[in-house]
Amino acid sequence: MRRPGRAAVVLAVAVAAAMAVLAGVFATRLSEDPQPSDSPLVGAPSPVLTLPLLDGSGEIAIPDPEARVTVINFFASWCLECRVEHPDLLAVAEAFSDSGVRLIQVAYQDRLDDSIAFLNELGVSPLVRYAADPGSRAAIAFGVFGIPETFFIGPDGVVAARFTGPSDSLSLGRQIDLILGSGRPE
Amino acid sequence: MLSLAGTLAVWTALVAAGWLAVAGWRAARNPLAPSASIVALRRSLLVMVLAALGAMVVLEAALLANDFTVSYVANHHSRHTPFPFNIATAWAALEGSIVLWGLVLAAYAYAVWRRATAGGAEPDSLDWGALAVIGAVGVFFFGLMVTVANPFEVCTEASARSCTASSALPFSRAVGPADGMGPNPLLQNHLLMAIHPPLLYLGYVGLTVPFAYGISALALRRSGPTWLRRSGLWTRVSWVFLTAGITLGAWWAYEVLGWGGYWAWDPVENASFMPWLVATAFLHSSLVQERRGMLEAWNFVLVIGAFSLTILGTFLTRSGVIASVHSFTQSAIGPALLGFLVVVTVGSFALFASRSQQISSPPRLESLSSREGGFLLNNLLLTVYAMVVLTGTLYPLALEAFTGSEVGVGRPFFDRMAVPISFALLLAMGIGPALPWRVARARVVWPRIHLPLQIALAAGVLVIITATRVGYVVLAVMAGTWVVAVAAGRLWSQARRAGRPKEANAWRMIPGVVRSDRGFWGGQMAHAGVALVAVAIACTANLSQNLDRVEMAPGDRVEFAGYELVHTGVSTTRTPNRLKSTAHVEVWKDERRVGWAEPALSQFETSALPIATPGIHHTLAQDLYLSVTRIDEEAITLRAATAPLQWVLWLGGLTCAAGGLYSLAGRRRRRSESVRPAERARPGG
Amino acid sequence: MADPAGRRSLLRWASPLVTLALAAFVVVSLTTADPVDQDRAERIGKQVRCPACEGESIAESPSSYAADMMGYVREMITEGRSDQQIIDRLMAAYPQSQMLDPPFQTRTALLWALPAAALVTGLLLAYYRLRKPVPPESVRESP
Repeated sequence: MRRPGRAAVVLAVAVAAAMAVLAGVFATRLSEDPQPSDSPLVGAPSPVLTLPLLDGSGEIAIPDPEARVTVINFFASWCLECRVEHPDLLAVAEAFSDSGVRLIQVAYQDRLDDSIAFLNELGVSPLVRYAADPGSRAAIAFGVFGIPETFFIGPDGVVAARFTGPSDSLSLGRQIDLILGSGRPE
Repeated sequence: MLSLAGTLAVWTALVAAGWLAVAGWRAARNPLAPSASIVALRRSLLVMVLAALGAMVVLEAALLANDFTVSYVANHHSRHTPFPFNIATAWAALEGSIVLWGLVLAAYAYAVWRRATAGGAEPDSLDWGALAVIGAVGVFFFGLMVTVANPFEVCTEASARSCTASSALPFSRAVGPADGMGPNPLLQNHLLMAIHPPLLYLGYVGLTVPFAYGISALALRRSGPTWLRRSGLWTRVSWVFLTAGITLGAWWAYEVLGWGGYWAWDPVENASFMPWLVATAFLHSSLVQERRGMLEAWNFVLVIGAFSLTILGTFLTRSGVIASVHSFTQSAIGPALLGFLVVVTVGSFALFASRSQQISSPPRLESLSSREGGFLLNNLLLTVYAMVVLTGTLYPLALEAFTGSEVGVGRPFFDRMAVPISFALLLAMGIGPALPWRVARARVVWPRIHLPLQIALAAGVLVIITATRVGYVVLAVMAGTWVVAVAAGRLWSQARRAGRPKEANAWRMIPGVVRSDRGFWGGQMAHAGVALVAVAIACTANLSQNLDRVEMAPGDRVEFAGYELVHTGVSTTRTPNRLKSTAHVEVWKDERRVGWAEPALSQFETSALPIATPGIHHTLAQDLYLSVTRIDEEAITLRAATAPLQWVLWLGGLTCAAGGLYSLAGRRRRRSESVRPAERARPGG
Repeated sequence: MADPAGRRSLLRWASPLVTLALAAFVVVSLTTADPVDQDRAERIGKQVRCPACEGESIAESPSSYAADMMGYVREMITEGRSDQQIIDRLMAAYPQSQMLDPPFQTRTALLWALPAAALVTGLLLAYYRLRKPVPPESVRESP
């Protein structure tokens, strides 16, 4: 009987091919972070919305019409990594405010008192705006997965970049320089 | 100290497994195996079992003794982990789960040996070959333990709640943290979590045994039903464990995860479900070969497929390629498992292809409408089912790797594909047992099925009149009744036939009839379990009611599904590792308090987000499932849902496993039978 | 028991009739049943993977972020938007992989086709390879 033999060989070759494909697919994934990190927002116009300020003193528009570059940072008091990046964010916001960079920190899934306590503990700046996000509309509009997440909106109103996880002053500064363009390399 | 002992145990097991593979292969190659190689085989086997057991004991000892110089303990245990969970921590994280895997594998190897030599039986080359394959698999898993998944590394640098093990050498100076992170909070919330992973492992690892027999039969050119008969017990044992493990896993998700569901088509769930589907197909198709000598080649394909899927599943859940609720964090174990998967599948199928000339050509089907035809249909459906789950699980990865475009494949896809296949399976499950072997004539079949058909239709009518006209529920009830009624009809007619010569009451004959063919009737019991599962799934998926989040201050009442829910207050309990806030909700019906539920949120000190635990009010008709998304003194945010006939799902799953268990009892006795008809018909083997 | 033959012939007629009647009742009841009115928000929510959790849809997830997303869906429903508009707005900033229901497109063709191909291959294999071969004599005899 020859036919079963041929079928078995075909099957074996098919399995080997399928495994080669699978191994290739997985090999590319093994070195990656499984969380989706590509945002369709990067390169697209920024969402436009208005958020209430955390202290209830008014509202702020996103992107900030008075700023050349708006940096949106989502944080929460329960987020440990936000604690880590907070000083760097603050420093960068102050350093670049003369260049027309505005940092807006948006509380994500947090209680008002807790957010305020968190900020008072870690430091605030009059140059930074602190906003609440009722109903998580801003988080949804920016496609937030987990915090901290930081978005950079350029002078053209386009989202230029998105950082996930805690950011440091070096990469923040470099990204802002890149957007301010006109080559002012460090 | 314990690091040293554990490392020694794992290395010993690794060497013994290699020794077992070599000695087993030598004994298998030489039909008149010299007693020396058999002695070597037995010794290596015993050493492997003892060493694997030793590794597990050392790991448990390190956990119980709070020895934070052992890397696994430092990274996954905490002083405050309460009693059953500190034991279960041994398999709650990656490295420990591999230790358990090795132990279970060694135990199976020992059991195979015991069974092959039981009652003075003479094991032959097929058994030696199978033990060699198990040894080779053991080499891989113990090899993992000494390389990429070593739980016994020594902490040489301690940070606050974890350690850096810069050296696998147990001689380095040990510096452990004062206390560790503790296991994942989700895993220390319910007792089921301590039970269901070992059950799943017993099922997963057990599939190594039929695979080993299959490879042994291929390598030694010993096709024929012998390998199936030798491994049949182990196939069933692992199938029972898999079934029970999957059921308890679903139960755990329902009782603990707090979203009200029990099955999300999550990659990890799929990873356990695919081997189950293929193992189920294998159980059925091996019957066809044992009875009729058919489907021989197909059985090899299935047994290799089932084992490969367990490795694939382990890879998917352990390597971090897919983000999932249950997945362990990324580690170097991924490439190792991937390599093993490639070696196993490509190697096995190459062996299969090279031996295909020896695999006897199947006798042709006389008719597609016959018991064989029914089994064939069942195999086709189960294989396609597994294919659907596999495709759906891997497609997003493959698409992204090749085209860079992203697609999500989730519950809507799986439901859409699985529902029609499941209904087809139920129909086949009903008609199958009514079909005679070889050729089924309508004259024979119709009397067997017309009454069950009417009963099934009548059950549908009853449901429509008294309960609901939701299509899926009515269809599931009819299909389930159909399955049970056909089986009951077969039982009744056999009992009557058995009673006729003695003019005995047929009712009295039923136990005897069942005992005379435990394999068949155990199978029918498993079918009944599946029928129950189908009905329960249809009910919970289609008849449940939901109450979306409501804010409730203490004393507030809310009406839902004929109940009145009263929030009476919040209490908090603090244990060393967590702060648990419990909402007390009374359940009222018709102005009477019928029960209460206590949904809770636990804030573990090592985890940012609180873990929700549902509060469930169980009744016969339905569960009332309450969960909270926020708790504080002023108010709670409550979600509620009903889960009609939820308990039937657990009953069905466990009935299914129990049916498999009952059929095992029949297996054991059959082993002593000398030659079965199928083998007598084909003396060449 | 008095007239077993007569009873049997009655059964032979009655039984298929009963079967048919029952089947007819079931078919008619199910086809005329009101469609289950599923909550629209629920239906939309079940197609969206919750970003803050894993494996669950926003309709099922107990997380508060999922609750906010469902709230947005409900708000857009009251604004009178279509399902597609709601999903487009909700998911504007999320990658396609957050959708749980894969669309019918060329890039997902294999996803839908592979299981169907397996089914067809299996059926063909079973039919052609396992069917009893026609004995050669009868082939010769046929015109």
